[in-house]
Amino acid sequence: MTKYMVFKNQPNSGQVNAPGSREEMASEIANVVSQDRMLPNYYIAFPLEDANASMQSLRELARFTVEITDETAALWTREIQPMVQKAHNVDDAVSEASGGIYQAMIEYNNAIQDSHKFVELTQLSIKALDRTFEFFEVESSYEVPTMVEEIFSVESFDHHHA
Amino acid sequence: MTKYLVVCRPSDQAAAHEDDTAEEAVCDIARTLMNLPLRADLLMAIPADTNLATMSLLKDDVMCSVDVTEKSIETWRNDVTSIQDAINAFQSAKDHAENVLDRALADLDDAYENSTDFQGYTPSNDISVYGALSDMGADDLEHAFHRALVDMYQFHVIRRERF
Repeated sequence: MTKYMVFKNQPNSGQVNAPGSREEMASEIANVVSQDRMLPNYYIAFPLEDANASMQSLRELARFTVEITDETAALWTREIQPMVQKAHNVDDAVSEASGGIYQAMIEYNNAIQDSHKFVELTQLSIKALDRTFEFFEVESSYEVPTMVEEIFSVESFDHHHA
Repeated sequence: MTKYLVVCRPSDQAAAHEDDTAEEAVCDIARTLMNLPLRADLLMAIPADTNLATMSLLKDDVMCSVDVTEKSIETWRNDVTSIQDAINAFQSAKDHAENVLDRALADLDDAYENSTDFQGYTPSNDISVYGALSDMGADDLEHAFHRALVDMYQFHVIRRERF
């Protein structure tokens, strides 16, 4: 088992995770757990005992630690990555669906408002729509990051500046 | 306020109502509120205080009655169409949303189902696409608007009681 420290890759650092490497995998795992869907190489990872990890730690604090074994690495490639992609597709579907409905809802509310005789018809609530899609997004995107967090024993660190 | 009775246009009454007349609007209102799958010009509107109206009632030809004023006809032409279009557009957006979400969730279900280590969890069991969208109260739009129109045009379906 190897433990990786995952840092936010600074802009213009010139560092990238080697394609296909465990470091790249650790960074992707951190990205999934964070649920922020950042671009590749937004995070950069180093094995805990690697000198680069110490060097990087001097510059900034790690955001995550990720543990990877040969077995979990194989599981990531074989099963989890496709699942992550499908979960992202659900998020994208939520965005597409909510965009279309917001637009139609606003047009309906405007049509009611612009009419003289139908202003008493109930306007559709944007807040209710927000709540509906928020619920949907939370429910659909919760499972995969939680599972990934457990399998790779991910620890997240929040750093607050005083 | 003028009350009209609406009948199917008899074959010997070939000419449809002229455009932009009250009769033409009444036929359109009747067709819409009765949800008839036919063109409005296949209907005929008869002022209720005429002999033809009485005859039509006696022959049990009358489908419905509609009350209109100049103002309510103007409302029909200006507001109703745009609101109806907006409701239809909303319904389409909702249908599209349900399709898109349903498909994406089914794919995610498949990914779990086809995995060897994560079988047994079905994401769509926890998320109801249809429930989530109908909770917004959107299902009632069409019905509420229909009720408002029925009240505004004092729309009544005419059925003769048979003994």
